[in-house]
Amino acid sequence: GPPPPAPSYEILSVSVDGALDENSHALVRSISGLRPGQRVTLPWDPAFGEAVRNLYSRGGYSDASVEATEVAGDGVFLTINVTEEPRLASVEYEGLRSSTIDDLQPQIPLLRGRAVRPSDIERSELVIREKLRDEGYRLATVNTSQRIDEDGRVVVTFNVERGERQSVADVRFVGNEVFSERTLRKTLSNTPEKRWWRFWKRETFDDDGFQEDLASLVRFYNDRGYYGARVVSDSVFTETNGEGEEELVVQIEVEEGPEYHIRDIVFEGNTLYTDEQLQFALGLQPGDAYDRTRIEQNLYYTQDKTDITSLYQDRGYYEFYIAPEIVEAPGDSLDLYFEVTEGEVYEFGEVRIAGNTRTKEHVIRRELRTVPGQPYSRQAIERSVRELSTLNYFDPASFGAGPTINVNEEDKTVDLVYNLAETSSDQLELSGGYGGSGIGLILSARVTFANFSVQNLLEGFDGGMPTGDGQQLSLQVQTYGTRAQIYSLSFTEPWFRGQATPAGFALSYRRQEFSSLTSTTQGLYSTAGASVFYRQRLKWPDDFFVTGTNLGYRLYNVRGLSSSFLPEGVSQEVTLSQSISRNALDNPTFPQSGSQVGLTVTVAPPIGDFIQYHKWDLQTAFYTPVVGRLTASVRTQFGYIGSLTGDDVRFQRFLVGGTPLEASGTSSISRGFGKDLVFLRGYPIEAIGPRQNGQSVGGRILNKYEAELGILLFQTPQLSLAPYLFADAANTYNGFEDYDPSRLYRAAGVGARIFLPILGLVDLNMGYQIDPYAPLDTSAGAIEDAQPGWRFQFSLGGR
Amino acid sequence: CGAGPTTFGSAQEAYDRGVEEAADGDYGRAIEHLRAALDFGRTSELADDAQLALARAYAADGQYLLAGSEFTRFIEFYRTDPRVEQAAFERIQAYAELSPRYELDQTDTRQALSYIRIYVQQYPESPNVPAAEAIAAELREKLAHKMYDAGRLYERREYYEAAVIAYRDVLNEYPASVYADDALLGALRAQVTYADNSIAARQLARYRSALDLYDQLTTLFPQSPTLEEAQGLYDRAYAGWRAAGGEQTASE
Repeated sequence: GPPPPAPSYEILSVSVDGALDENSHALVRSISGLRPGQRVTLPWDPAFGEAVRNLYSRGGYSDASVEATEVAGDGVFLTINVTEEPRLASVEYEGLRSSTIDDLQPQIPLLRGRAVRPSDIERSELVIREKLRDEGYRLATVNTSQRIDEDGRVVVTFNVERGERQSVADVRFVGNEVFSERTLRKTLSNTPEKRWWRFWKRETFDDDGFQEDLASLVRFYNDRGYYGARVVSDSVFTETNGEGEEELVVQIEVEEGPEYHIRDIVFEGNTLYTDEQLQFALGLQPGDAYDRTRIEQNLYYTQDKTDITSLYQDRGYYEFYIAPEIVEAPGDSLDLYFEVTEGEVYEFGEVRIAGNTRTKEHVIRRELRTVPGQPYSRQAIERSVRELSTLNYFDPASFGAGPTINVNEEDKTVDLVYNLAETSSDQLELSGGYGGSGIGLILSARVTFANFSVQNLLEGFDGGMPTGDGQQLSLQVQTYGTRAQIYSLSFTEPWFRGQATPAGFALSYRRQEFSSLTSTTQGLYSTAGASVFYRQRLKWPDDFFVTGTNLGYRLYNVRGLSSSFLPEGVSQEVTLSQSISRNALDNPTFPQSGSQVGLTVTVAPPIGDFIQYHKWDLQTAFYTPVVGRLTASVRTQFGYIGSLTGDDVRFQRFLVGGTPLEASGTSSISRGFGKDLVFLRGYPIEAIGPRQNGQSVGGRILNKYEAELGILLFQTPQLSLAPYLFADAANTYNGFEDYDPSRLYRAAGVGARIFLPILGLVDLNMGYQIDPYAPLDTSAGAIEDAQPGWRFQFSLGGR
Repeated sequence: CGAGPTTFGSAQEAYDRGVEEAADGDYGRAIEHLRAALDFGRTSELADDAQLALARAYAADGQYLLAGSEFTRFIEFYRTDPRVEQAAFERIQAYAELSPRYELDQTDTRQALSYIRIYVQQYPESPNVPAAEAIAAELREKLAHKMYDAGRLYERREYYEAAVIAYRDVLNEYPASVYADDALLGALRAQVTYADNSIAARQLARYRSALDLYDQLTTLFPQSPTLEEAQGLYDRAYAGWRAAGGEQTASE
């Protein structure tokens, strides 16, 4: 018959034997999971095994066992026997600098209060030796000792002998015939030789870097036809130099082999593309020298997506794989066999968005090019990532690596999850004060909400901020008492009626009073404007194109300023402007490649006594990476303003020079009043252009060129920094009779763009003004220095 | 320990103070003191009580994320405690509170739903089950709304195929939702437009799918107010289907 059921007992108590103190007892009991009241079978219960396993996996205990010490009726007294391993009191280092110790500590796997395991000691010694090796102490030794302190805990001491620091004095090559030692040395970027002119740098020897160097040395040969090239041996040894110092010498022996040429290129398994199409994408033909990097890139990844993998993966072939096989043929030839696994066409399945704690889903989803039901495309994913970075609402680090991909083999779909981390792109500037009874309130406030939500504002959104619908709202108030005031408000809905058609409006008002020096009358400049706009992304010629329409009304009032070039009294204009632009920059703030081109035509029709003109504005920008994060860019602007009726055009002329900051603020409303300010580094505001009565009145033809060489030093959510060198030139002319494209005002210098989340983009530069300009009679009557010289400028906000 | 301004002689003292403050509604102080009680050691006699009280204090204070993780600690540290079931239910409530409006990230919603699934499996007899299921229904409605919105977005952006997929997913994943019939109508509308814009060779099959969607709508939701609009779409689909050669195929 079946064995009788094992008798069951209730645990009456659990005691611990072998642990150090009462606290440890409690801990052991807790880890064991055995509790009074629990029922167990004797002599053995699975819970005992579980208890022992828990204690071992927790670490710090050995020889654990559970024992029934006494049975009373159907109750049992249990004892857990453990041996507690000695615990770490502290770690001490001898022979190391404190900075080195600070660097080391996070990597040392010894924790206070935890048991000290021999493997952790070994690991620690290794970490110390590697650290010293990186610092150039290749001969360092570590001796470890342990002692028990008065509490019975372990003190571990690492005693370090650093020895002499060694830097690489010489890199020697053996066996190289085709390429010179000098050429080959350049491939070893991690193992440079010590040079007297690089005195600030310690050219220490780094093992990992050296292994990378050897690989890039072989690749250097492979890319130039030397398919069989290899490193026969490499050695690092010390030598005594002429001055009796020990120096590190690296010696590399290479075997170059012959230069190989491609004999045959064979593709197998391809049905979507023909052999000719694939060979074209591969970029190699029979007879060409072998080129490993080129083959790898054209097979797997090129920037412009012309590689074979992109050809397939952008058409849904998610599983596509191509495996090259290279076979040596007689006479220094190679046959290339490519086995193509096309796989099946996959579609995008569910596209999920996570991490948007403020931004509403539709604001994100509408930017994504990965659309359910469409063929899987690597390019669509990359484009989506680009669009997300353009939004500026999320930390690029959160989505830069692309969405998480889940493949459903059954229904051949690829599900995506975009994991985003919100950052704030709102900006706020505030300052204020009281200027006394003669002036009044001095206030400057500017708020920009980059991710505004009118809907939430109307709903009241649970008392939270009205954010998340991706709208832009900016408000500006600046007052200098009643004498100078600026108010402006603008609003943009980037997806008007759910379509990729931004629309919005802007209102502005500004006025400034002057006390004239020559008369008792008060001078006044004031202007008020309102405009609505509508933009549309186009699908043709490509979807980087945007057109825009703007309808505006503006009123100007000039009083008591007879010296002004502008007509006295009230002038009004209605403008209709149409623009077309194409923006294919890779990044809105720090572009490194791509281009931007835009043309705007504005017409102010002669209705009644309204101001009339027509105006043309063409702007271009090109960015191209030079090497690494170094970027060269050229920007141009050409403008023309003409008359519809033949009457003189006085408003909206081009005034060149200065920065947006010089034009902003209540003290400078008159700067560029009624004109079109075009900013130029190295010159003060309004400096360039035709003159009348010592005033800059603005030109009707504009030519402007800017060239830059910049480097994005670092980019983090808190701070980005991109220093640059620049050379600019521009001029504006009164008309075609005056036009001379070679007569330009030039400037050159250095600067830096800094991105701070709270301020936005800050541009600082130090420019040298090369050409003298006609002195300016400023409103205060002072003559500005117009001679060549250095000028420091900075500006906030967009470029 | 020793982080707070007050120090306690014993875990019991800190715990008692914490419980008292929680009862008085001073959750900030309560949290501080219950934390102090736990600092005496997770293994002290009243650590389990302190852990649960701490989780509840966080919940009462509106700090649902911390409440959720403290309930989880209680559930995982004191597996055999009879209060684990109640703690699991309160954890569900905390995550349900964390679940934001449907347009925002629904990770916490999904987490709550997964806890509810486990809970109902583990404690099918619990009196809390109806309440848990009511929470689940509310949360699922949110996810359905979100997916329905995705369908509307794709339809507006003229990604009709994607719209059909999203709309159908609403029906497939949340058939009991109030959005189900609207979603099916949306799928029909998008499918008809998709077929209208298709090349001739694909139209027949795509109009056919639209007719199937109409049948599904009338079968599943015979009382739905969406049927009126659906009727017009059916007529369009049927006309398209015939023009694409549907009748010949049918009569063959």
